Amino acid sequence: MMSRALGARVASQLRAEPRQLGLLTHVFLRRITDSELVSQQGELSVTFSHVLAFIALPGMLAPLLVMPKYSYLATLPDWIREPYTWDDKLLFVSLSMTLIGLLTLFHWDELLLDGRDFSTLAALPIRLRTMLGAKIVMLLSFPAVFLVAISNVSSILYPVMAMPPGSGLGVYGLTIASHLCAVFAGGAFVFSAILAVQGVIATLCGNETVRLVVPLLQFALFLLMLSFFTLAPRMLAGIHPGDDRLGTAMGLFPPLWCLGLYETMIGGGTAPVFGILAGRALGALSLSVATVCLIYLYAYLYKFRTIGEARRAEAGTRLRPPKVAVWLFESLLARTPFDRAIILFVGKTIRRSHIHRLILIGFISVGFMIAFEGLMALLAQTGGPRDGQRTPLLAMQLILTFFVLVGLRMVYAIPAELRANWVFQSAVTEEPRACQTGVRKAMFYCGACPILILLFPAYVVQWGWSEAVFHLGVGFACSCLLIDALLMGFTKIPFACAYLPGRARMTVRWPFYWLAFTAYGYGMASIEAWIMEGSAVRFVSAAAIMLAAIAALRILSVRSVRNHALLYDEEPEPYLCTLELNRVE
Amino acid sequence: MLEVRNLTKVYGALTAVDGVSFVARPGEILGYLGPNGSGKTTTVGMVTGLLKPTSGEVLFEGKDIQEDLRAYKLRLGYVPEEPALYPYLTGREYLELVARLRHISEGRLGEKIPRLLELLSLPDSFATIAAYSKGMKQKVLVAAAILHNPDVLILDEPFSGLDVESAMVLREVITDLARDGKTILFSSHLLEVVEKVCARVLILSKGRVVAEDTVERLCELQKQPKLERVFSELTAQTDPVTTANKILTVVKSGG
Repeated sequence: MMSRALGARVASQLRAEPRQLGLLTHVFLRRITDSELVSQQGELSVTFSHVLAFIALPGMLAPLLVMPKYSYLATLPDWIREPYTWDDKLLFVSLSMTLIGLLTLFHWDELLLDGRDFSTLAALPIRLRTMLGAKIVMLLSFPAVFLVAISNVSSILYPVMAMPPGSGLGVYGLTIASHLCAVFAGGAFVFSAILAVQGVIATLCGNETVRLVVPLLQFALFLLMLSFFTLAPRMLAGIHPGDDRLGTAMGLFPPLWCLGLYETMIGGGTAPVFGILAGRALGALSLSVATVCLIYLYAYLYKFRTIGEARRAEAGTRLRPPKVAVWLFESLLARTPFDRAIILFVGKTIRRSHIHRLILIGFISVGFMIAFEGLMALLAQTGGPRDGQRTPLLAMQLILTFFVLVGLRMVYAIPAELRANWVFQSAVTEEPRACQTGVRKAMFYCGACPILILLFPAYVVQWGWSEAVFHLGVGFACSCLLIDALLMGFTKIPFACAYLPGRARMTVRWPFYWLAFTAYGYGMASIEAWIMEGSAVRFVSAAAIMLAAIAALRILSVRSVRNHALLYDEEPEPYLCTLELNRVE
Repeated sequence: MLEVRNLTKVYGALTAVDGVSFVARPGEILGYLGPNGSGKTTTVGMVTGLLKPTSGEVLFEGKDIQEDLRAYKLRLGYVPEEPALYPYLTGREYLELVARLRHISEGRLGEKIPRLLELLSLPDSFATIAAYSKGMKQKVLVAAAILHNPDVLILDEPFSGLDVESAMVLREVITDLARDGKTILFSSHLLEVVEKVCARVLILSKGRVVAEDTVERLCELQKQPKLERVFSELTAQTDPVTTANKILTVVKSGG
């Protein structure tokens, strides 16, 4: 009798599990599509399809951009034509690796079974293995959906161009299969490698270490992902099939491993090193997937069962800043309690709020890559950089501060725990003008200062003290100008106002933003170089113009918030704008 | 003195608060009661200045708070119903943020906050609010509300999630603050606490004031021994026993 009852219970459990698995997978996947960047009024599925379309766009455009080259290549024999296709194949692979890597970084918190899952689901009759199973299904679906979006057009169009002229359906099918395998292997490798790194850190390190290490790691990974894409085009410049460089130093570049896989599958065979590279691709993919599996197994057996306890047990002594730093901060940098409140709130939110940190890291990484590109171009010149060519080096500081400050302005607008903004609503008694002062200081100290101070020693080594100090001064002045321009009409407390996406109108205004970046980054650097090469009169007149510009922009910025109240709830723009001709004053 | 005159708040077709008037005097704890959805939190929102009334006014010391909201906020302490806090800050960091927003000097906040954390048994560690229990979050809210020694204290369910000892401590704190001449508006569902703490109570139903007097006088008028019965008689739309039975029938039906 008992065994029958037990059997019925087991059977019912087995029937329930697939359903629970499906429901949980749906919940986990939905969390990935749900983010703070989505407007409260936004239709989730519509927003998600916009994201998919955005991700798919580069993969759709790339085959069309390379098409003209192949009409010429079609006339060449195979052994000459083949090396010319490598850089395009590498482009597709690195594109998929970069996009999947960036997406994985943006969803860093949602990819492991965390305390939030445990606290929500532990009270329900759901087995841990079901939770884990749902998480694994979600982890498999996540890169698959995006990889399909990235490669769907290119996998059909590009093989038509890349395969030898006059080839049959069999070759076409093989080229499609090779293309898909290489692109999917690249994406899967990046995804599983990031998961493995994240899992190892979460498993081996304590909470405080994780908190300290993760931002730096995310920054490094962001740079690495961007470097896959930016370095790929020049990686194969001047390389021929028998080149030793493919097997040595360049063989450490992961997108090249996937190119090896592509070429080996397609049966290129002109460069035997591709076999080695393909082996590396498969080895790296297996290693990262195996690491993820081991971590999940370990976590399932030892960690997940005590995850709730771990959350409660978190404790430790608070780290206190040095007294000199406290004195400097309170007496010189932020003299009013309100300024201190805003600066510390901004600093802590950026350090601890995942989405804000990642967006800012994204901006800094792009700035870093652009500055690095400029530097590389300078170093690549025959005979090294010449004396007169200071502009690219001077521009580095301006490019980085531009991206940090624009990134900060962007993240200011994104709320962090919007419901908690009541504390500002009930306690802030300052006028928007006074608030803007605090916000400006926060931007200067948390954004511009760290970059300028970090770069200063490099400029001292390059040009000596006097010129480095001058350059630092220019950096501070330009940052002040940019901050005032960015805060024009800003009547909010950072992170404390509802967010409406699309207010920046990137689709329409991008030429303006690009112009602003070029003028700030390179225009200012050219002017600085011109001043450095000139007389004292040139320096004094330029300094006077700069001070006047700062003063004028400050006045305009302050005026732009006068007679406004602090904003905590962003109103959407009306669908229909009237001319209000019937309005009576 | 805090005076509310004919306060009304309308959301589209819904009138959440309809012509509410009352006076809260210094040294007095005014209990503000009502069932869920009766308009308590909306009133509290308007009294704190977070919501603008559709009509009516809130006067503090004879002046409309909207005329000089800044001066009023400086003297206001508020515990909201929902413990909405920044989860990535520690308890100490949150209190420091509030103290600085309220212009408390570094010296004073350096003395006050560690003492408050210790007295309220809150951890002074790197543990963030995300890891706090509901009671701990509530203690942070209470500490943040009284940190600057406000003249007006508006408490919306301040005992929510607190353990017995902390609740007793908070009750004493509220009583002592009233004795010091503070004006306190106390909104709660815990009628036993209201009975013990409040000099007068005001009962709200469907956005309107249905009763306002001392607890003893209300019991006397309604011929009921306890405030709970008075409250039920004035606000209940259905018989609680009948509703409970109906719920149990639904729960038990169909296994």
